[in-house]
Amino acid sequence: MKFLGYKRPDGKVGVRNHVLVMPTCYCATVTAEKIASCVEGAVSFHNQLGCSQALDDVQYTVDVLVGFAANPNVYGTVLIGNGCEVCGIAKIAALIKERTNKPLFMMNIQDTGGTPGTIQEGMKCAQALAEEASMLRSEEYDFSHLIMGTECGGSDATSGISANPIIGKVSDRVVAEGGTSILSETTEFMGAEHILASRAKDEEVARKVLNIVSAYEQHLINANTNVRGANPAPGNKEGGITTLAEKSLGCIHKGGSTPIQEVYAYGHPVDKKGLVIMDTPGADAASVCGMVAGGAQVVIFSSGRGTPIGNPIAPVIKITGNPTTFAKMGVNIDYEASGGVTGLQTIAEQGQLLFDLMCDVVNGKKTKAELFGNNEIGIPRLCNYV
Amino acid sequence: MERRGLLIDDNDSVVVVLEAVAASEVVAYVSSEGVQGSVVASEVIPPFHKIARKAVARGAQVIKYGQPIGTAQADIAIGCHVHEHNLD
Repeated sequence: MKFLGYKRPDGKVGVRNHVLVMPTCYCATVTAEKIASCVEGAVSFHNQLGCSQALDDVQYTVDVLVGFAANPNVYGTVLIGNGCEVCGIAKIAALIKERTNKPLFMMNIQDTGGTPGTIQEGMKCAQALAEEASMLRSEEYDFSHLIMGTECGGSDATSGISANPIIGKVSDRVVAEGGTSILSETTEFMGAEHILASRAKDEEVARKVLNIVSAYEQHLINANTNVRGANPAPGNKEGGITTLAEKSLGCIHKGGSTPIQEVYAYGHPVDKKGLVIMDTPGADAASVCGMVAGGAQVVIFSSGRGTPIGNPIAPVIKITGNPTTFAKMGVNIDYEASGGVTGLQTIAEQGQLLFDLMCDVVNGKKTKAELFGNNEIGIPRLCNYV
Repeated sequence: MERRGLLIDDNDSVVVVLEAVAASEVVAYVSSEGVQGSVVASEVIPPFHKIARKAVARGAQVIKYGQPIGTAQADIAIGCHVHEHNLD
């Protein structure tokens, strides 16, 4: 099986052909967004971080910024900095160049005539890149070039029994075709971590699964939050969930049934084929961001309650297992995955239909989130600003 | 009256009911792969709660998603509601 993609000079294959105008810190965010809004084919996003951060938090921000520029959906990048921030353009550019040889421009607002001069210069660079990008023709590539992220948020009783098992079928199919599927959201592994670990390809990967769960749990306990103790919540129990393992199995079903090949730190480059895990928060925008920074070109996101969110770089296909939610906000949701609940189609049948939709989106069909310009991001942080 | 249920994995000992079930009603379920079966409810089962399709002895694991989700705290007969009172 093949999909249509854009070949990058670093050998990777994108399913979109964006010019990324990237603010390296919050001071540059509005300027970068104004530049992108003036150039057809350019994208940007709101970066709330990039300066005055503790070192571990700087690392999270750097990993997302560098990962975004390296994501194969990006043709080239225009870095916009202010000039005195921790995540400065020279530092970010050097790290990007270690990962990819794609086109890269950069400028500081302090050295480019403030906001008006930077907008003028940034528009010229973004326009030049967009013009080059428009010359590229998509070609057919096999699934070994595709990384799919999986996500759930705003879950309800239908997520664990319909939408997530349907995503699991797509994960299994992507893996069978030689591609990669990422299972994320470490906080939602709790209670089922031993089951997940038993699916690891070897003892080392199993140990990594257990380690990311215990480290995350301890991190939250240090901030007076006991996830295991408070779960399943009373609302979950009313909805029929009895144990934490049961709740977590409903989430991790997104990963399907194949062996876990590797465990990656948040935002780190994904280089293995098959099903892999990334250590991300349950917070959906931040989890999606980590997978996209890791190289995911497309994401499938289930939401029982419904959500509009997307991502600036990767198409986010949203599905719901709840027919009422689809009736209420189908304008934001790409697929009604309610077969497990309505019985109108089986989970296996809907998995095939969702795989077909994912292929359509990879081949160029725009998602609801893309059509509305939803470009939410979230970058994890451990502590307060410095 | 016949009510609808979902068997997520063919090895599961429980079925998720998709609508409210009264005692002695039949739950007709379908699996992820389309396999059909049925079980008679011995008590009220609220929507999205679990009904036992296999007997589970006290101390044995209850299986859902093809995986153990907890230990039976009492002998669970076919048709029983499976929740906090008999599963932990």
